[in-house]
Amino acid sequence: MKSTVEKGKQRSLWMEAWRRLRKNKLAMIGLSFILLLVVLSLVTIVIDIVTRNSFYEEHVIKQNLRLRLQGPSKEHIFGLDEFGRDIFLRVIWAIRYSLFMGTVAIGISVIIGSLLGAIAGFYGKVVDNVIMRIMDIFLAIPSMLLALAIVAAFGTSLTNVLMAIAVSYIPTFARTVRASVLTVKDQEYIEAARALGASDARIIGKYILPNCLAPLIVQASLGVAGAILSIAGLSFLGLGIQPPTPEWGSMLSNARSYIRDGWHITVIPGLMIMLTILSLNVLGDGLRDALDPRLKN
Amino acid sequence: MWKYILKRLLMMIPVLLGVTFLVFFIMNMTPGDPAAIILGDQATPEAIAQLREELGLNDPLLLRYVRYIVDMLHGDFGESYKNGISVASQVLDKFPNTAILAICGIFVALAIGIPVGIISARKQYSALDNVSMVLSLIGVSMPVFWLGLLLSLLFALKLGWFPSQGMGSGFLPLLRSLVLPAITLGTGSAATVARMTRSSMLEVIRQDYISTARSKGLSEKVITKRHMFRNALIPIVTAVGLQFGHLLGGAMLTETVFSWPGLGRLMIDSLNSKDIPMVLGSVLFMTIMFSFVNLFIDIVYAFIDPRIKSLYKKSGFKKKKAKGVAA
Amino acid sequence: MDKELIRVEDLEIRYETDDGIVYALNGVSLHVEEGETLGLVGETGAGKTTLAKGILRLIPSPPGKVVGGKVMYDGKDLLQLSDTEMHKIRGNAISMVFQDPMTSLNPVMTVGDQIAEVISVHNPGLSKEEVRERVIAILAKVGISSDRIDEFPHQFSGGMKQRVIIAIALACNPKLLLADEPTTALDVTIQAQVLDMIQNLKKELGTAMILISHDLGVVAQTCDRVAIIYAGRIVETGNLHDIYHNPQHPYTLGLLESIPSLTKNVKRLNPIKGLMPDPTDLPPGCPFAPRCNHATAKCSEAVPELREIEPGHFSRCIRTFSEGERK
Repeated sequence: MKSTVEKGKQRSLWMEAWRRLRKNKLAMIGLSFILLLVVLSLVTIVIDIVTRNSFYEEHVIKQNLRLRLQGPSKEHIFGLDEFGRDIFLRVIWAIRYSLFMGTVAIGISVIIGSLLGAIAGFYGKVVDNVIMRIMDIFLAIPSMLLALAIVAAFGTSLTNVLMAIAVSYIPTFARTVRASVLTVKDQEYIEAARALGASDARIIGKYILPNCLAPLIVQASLGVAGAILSIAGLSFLGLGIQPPTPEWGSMLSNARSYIRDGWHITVIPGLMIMLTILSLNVLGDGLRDALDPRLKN
Repeated sequence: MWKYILKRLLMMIPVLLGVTFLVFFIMNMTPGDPAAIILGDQATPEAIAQLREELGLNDPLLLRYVRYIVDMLHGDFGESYKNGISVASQVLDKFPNTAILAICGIFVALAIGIPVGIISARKQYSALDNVSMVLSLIGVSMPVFWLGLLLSLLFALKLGWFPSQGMGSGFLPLLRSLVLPAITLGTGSAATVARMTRSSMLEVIRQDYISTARSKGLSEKVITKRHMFRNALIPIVTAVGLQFGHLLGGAMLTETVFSWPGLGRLMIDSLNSKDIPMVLGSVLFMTIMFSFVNLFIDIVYAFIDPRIKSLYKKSGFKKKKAKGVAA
Repeated sequence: MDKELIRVEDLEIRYETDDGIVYALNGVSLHVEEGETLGLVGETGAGKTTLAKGILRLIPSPPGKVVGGKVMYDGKDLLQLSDTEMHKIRGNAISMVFQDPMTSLNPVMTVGDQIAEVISVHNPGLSKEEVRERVIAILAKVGISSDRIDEFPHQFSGGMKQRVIIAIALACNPKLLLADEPTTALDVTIQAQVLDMIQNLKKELGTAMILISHDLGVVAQTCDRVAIIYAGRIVETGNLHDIYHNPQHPYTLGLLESIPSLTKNVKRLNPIKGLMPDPTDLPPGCPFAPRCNHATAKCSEAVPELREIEPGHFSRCIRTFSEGERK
């Protein structure tokens, strides 16, 4: 009986947050843009599966030097790149390496980071000390450097880039969750649950983690933005996704040499990165305001 | 205070040891035999084996790590695999260039970010506030390297006002060549600082002591300067400290865009040529720099917030608690 | 009759929030005579603090908005003064003590500087040394030794902080002190001390005071006249004797019945049932009618006017209560 009441209240809290988020126009525009990217990217994935990559090979990868650097036109709305490939298609095909990889990388960091943070905050003392000192070591290295070092050491495969970024974000989430756990841990309802004989795992899973969810969601949405920037940055430095695979950062890196020959090859991939990050940032801000209205100014 | 700084310096040692171990460990996972890289394609297996012996590559990782640390304490970061020149001298050679760039970047960030944030907060919801907040959202979302490319496309290639590549020698050419990289590097941080300043000011504006200050009959200008800004400064300083880490990452990208001969460039080049001692040395050097900046930020806290200072006086190890007060 | 110091006429203040318009003050009129103490009593949300802040024009806008009314002081309407003229009034002629001493002092300024600030802004001719002498003098008056002048607020206890705030408020010998629940946040033992101190200083300086409180006991000890406020309107006002011995408004009656008494033998206290109406959605009639034991159909038609029951004693109720009717 009591738990259903609790659940009803919890659901209404989330509904309330969603209602507030919906009122935030900027955040909704951001969300729409992200959803648009997701749909477009899913379409490209379906095309790849259906055509067994032949469309991809033919239109996204294949060079056509005769038409190189052609500006935007009716057939190619974003123009053609330095190898005569359609920039619109390349940009669309690249979504998966930014949005999906960024999300997966952050997903991994969220899981590992919150577990570490929850354990550290919950058990305190030695465990907390050991975990957080190790996190301190990771935090002492600027995240871009850490990611670079990892990619440099293990090679520039997709998984390595993913891992490099995931690892560099773990400490952030560990800290966020630990802080929330510490504020929740000594609340009386936790003591009550303990008095009723709940196990540690149950207390962490049922009471503590749900309470950390709000800051975690906000951090994660901003984290995805950061991860996408890192992926693009690594690729721009030639250490991320390797050409000819389309990726926004590496497209920009190649465009550098042809910067005088056509503005569109420099402007468009960068614009895509910026709009994606912008959308995630306004969404993150909106989520923060919606989930914690006290913070809203 | 001095006692506290000393304690903080001592506390940095285990962290830096951890960092060196981490980076050393990662870099030694690199596929490919360093000896083979040094000797090139023509090397005989015997020569490679001999060099491996000389470099101590056959010893256990931990032993090599200890050896590296001992050498490091003597200021010896090893020699580059590529050209045999000492890592320390090359890093120190490039360091000033990155430092100039980073300092100018921070300057751009503060000079734009703080005034914009203050004005936005004072005139919340005004047209000015809305415009500057939209601009700073864009600024935060702008990839550094793209901004760099756009700036050099416009101001260097189209208008020819500033050089697009390299670092000028002599004061004025240096200044001219710094403009675009510094703006590139500073813009993102400026936007973050502006947003942080605004929200921190808005937080302070609601505080009771601002009502007290108003009830004293002070002018808004005095209240902003004397009561709001100093209290808003703590989160701003935190943001600036964190920005420095981003700035080091951004410096690598900016240096790449503008062919700026700094540490970041050196590191990328070394990464590409698998020059492990160089990479290790430059990562460590940057991390040490980063740690010192953070220490500096913590000391700055004590000067802005007397509550933190008294905590330091009581016990140098209560840093965590002090941060809690600041938050 | 003494000379009138300040007169508030039909003051109306609203807060325009996302959840609707909060009708905080709906035409409040009251006056204070020189040197007298007026107790302003009401429950949380009745508009007490809004009234005090409204007099000093400290209502944050947005969301607050003064819709109508006058605050006459020294022949002028404070609501019409320029900002600069208002700055000269605040802290000088009229000053305010806020509810929570823990948050009402600027944490990054020494208490001495915070007191000095109000002295020097209203006495621009004074040298630094003279200001400091005055600070020491006023600190002595509130019972703080001069060697604590350079300490920061966090080094003071709650009671001591409130003394500092009172020192700030009285530093320029104001004509009127607005004390917003000055002792609510303090320990009970400290409350009496601080209250005594305010009383003594007030007498010494000849300052009039509006003492905001929800504690009728405190008001009985310190005030000459009392105004009872409910849902943004004064519902009853009169001298101490009128209010305590001949209460006319059912709300006042309810308040008096809900305080424990040592002399009368009452089996249990009689709290007022129900809650104050939502200030975003006030009923058309008497706002107290839904909670009133004596309410009739007529009560919910229109808000009753203030009626003079006896000279100087007003009640906003359509009924007049004689001694026997009050149960």
